[in-house]
Parts: sequence; C-alpha cells; structure tokens
Amino acid sequence: MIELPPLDLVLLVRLSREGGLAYLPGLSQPRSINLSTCPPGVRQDVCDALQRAAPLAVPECGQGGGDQRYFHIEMVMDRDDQTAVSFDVPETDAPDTLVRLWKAHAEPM
Amino acid sequence: MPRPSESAPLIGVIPPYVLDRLAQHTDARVSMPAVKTLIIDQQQRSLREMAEQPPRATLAPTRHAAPGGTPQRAVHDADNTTALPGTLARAEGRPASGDAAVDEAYAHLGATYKLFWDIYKRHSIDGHGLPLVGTVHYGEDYDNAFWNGAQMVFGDGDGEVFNRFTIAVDIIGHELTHGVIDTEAGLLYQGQSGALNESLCDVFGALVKQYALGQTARQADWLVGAGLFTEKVSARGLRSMAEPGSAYDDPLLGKDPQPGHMRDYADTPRDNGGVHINSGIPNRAFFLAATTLDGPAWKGAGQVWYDTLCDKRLRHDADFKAFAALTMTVAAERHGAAVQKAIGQAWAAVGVLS
Repeated sequence: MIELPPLDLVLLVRLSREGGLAYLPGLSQPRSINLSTCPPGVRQDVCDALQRAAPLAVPECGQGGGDQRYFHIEMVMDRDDQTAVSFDVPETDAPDTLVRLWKAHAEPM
Repeated sequence: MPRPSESAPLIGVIPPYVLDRLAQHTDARVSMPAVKTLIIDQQQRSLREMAEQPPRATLAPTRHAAPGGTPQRAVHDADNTTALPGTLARAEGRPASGDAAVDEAYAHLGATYKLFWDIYKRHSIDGHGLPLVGTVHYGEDYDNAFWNGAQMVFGDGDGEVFNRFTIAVDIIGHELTHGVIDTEAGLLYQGQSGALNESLCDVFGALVKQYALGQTARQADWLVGAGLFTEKVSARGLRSMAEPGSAYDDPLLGKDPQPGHMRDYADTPRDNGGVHINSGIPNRAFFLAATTLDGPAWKGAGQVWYDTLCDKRLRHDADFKAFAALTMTVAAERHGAAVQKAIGQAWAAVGVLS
C-alpha cells in the first residue's frame, strides 16, 4: 500500500496500463486527467479511484512478467511537471473505479 | 528507483537533496508536495526492500503427476468474472465440452505439451508433470492472455479488435513457455533479459504451431497470434518474427513498433523497457537461423534455443549478446559446425554479434 499526498495538491493524474501479451501503441496511450479543469464529477471519480487503488499498490509490478498487466498511476503536483508521485497496481487487483477511468478516458491517436 | 516515465520526471530522478531543499521552502505550495514526495519515496523504498528478491513463479508441488508423455490438463471457466480458477469445465480425458474456448484451450495445451515432450523430452512446464491449468472466459470483454505464475488465463476479447485469446495455438504455447522459463533461466522481465524472455515464448509458441501443422521452417508464416485480431482492424497478428515491425499498421492499433536489428533498438521506459518491442531482434535471429537450416525448426535451431534456455550458464539477467554467445557455445558443443555457422550468421544479420 502507499499513502496518498493530499489530493487537493494534485494537478494532473496520468494513468497508463502496462504489460500484456503485446505492446500495441494505439491501445496503450496514457490517459491524462487535469484535476484543475475537469468537471467536479470527474474529479470525484478520479479521487475515489486513487483512494481505492492506493492500498493495493505493489512494488516492482512489472517484474511479475508472464504478460500480466498493471496500472501505473502518476500524480503530478506542480505546473512544471517536475514533482510527481507514482505507484503501480496489478490489473487483477485493480478496483473497478480505476478500470472505468481507463476505459472512459481513451483518446484517439 | 520508481519506473521512469517518458513524459514526466518522477521522484526517483529528482535528487533527494533537491527535494530536501524544496521541503524547507517557506511557501507551503512548494514545500508540501516535496514533503509528501519524500514520505512516499521512503514508503516506496520500503516496498522495494520488501521485494528484494525478483518475483519468481511458485509452482505448486505436483501431486499424482501423470507418467511422462501424458499431460494432465484442467480447463476452467471463470464465467466472465475474475475469480480464479473458476469452475472446472473439462478435465484430462473428458470429451469435448461444446464450448469453443474450453475445447481450444484443452487442445492447444495438449499441442504445447506434445512439442515439449516429443522433441525435448520435457514432462510439462516444470519437467515433472505439473498439471496444465487454464481458465477461459476471464473477465468481461477481456483483451489479454497471461501466465500468473501458476496457471494460464484467457480473455474472450472484445469482439471489436480482438477475438477470443484461445483461438491461436501459438499464444497458448507462448504463455506456457513463460512457465518453462520461470523454472529454468528465470530471465528477468526488464530490458534485454525481458525481451529474451518474450522472444523465447514467441519462438516456442511458433514451434508448437509448426509442429502441430507439420510445417518446415520455410513453410511457416512466422506470425505470432495470427487470427487473434478481428477483420475490423488491419493486422496480420501481434508480431512478425520474419519481418518485425510489419504485423500491423492500423488507425486504432498504431504501427507495429518492433525492430529487427540492433541499430533500431528501442530505448524506452514503456513496456518494461520494451520487452515486447525489442524481442523482434532475437525473434528475427531465430527465424533466420531456422530458415537457413530449413527442415523442421523445432530441430536444429529449436533444439539449440531449448538447450540454451536450460543451460545453467544462462544468467537471469542475460542480455542479447550473452544469450547469442551461449547459443554459439551450445551449438559447437552439441550440434555441429553447420548449425553453429547458421546461428552465427543469424546473430550477425541482426547486429547482435559481429
């Protein structure tokens, strides 16, 4: 597990899904959600997903191998994108709120 | 260090002394994130220390192992949930269930077992008759297949981009080979050793398919996962071992990023350091060696690759050059000059050996 920073300090959340049987660039684009400009409902969804995912953080997730997927979550806390906190959650443990975020924020290449 | 991102410098690349200074800043808007970053960095360090040993598959002890030459398969149905292993749908020796995914998984697990037993005298994943357990209908529209250290898991695909993941025999061969690697060299799933891990799975997945079809090296299509994509996308498969980088080019999928030569090696933090990307280089080396030797690829080049995988001199952190050099040593020790020459030329053609 990991302790989250105060979420009101987080400006941007970047979500990527790593691993899997192949690396398909078009299906692997990270999702970026700007918490300072997004609608309040989206912000609430993101915060819920972060709070449910943080207790499930696992170190060195990618080393699991065997084509298992995991989510990589970055919380950017300054406008220069210089300070970020990140953690990984195995897809098999990921809360449904996180999976929904991944699906809902897909952007065309 | 946390895994670096291509888009954002993360806490691990900010020197701790800089964070310390930021944390002491009089402006709380500056200091608070740094304080939190330091706290979380410490937490992550603790997590990493807990995980000092690289995770390896822990295979359950084999009870009532079948005699050599006989697989012990069990295909389960997750019924579109993520609970594993799910309900037993077909046990060893039972008739077809009528569910295409169940019966494909059963048949393709058998085909994989058959290659490893008939050609390499390997009795299942661990060499001691480990039951082959698979679960189909995992999740909803789940578009992946994986080996979780104890069993294989297959999604149904979304029907838009992907068909069900049991459709391709080489994919089941690929996943089972992850289990074989875990019990042999244990190649680390990062960077070049990770790309070798992936390449070996593609190699033995291809050999499972070619052995089942009775194809010679020059007759084979050398595609990984042919049939996995629906007709709605422009894709021949997940990867091409013959021509890495040519498997797909589609508005939805993007373009196949695999290189086939070291000059195009992808230095990337994504995909665990490009394990599914740079595997194109050793994949093409195997294709070149096998087609130069011709005949069945599971002999000649396939035997050398298998012997190398099982050789105690193969380190878990081997890079391409170390693996290539060991294939040359193994070929010289056990397989003769013609095989060694073909393999040496193949590694040279992809820029790994000179």
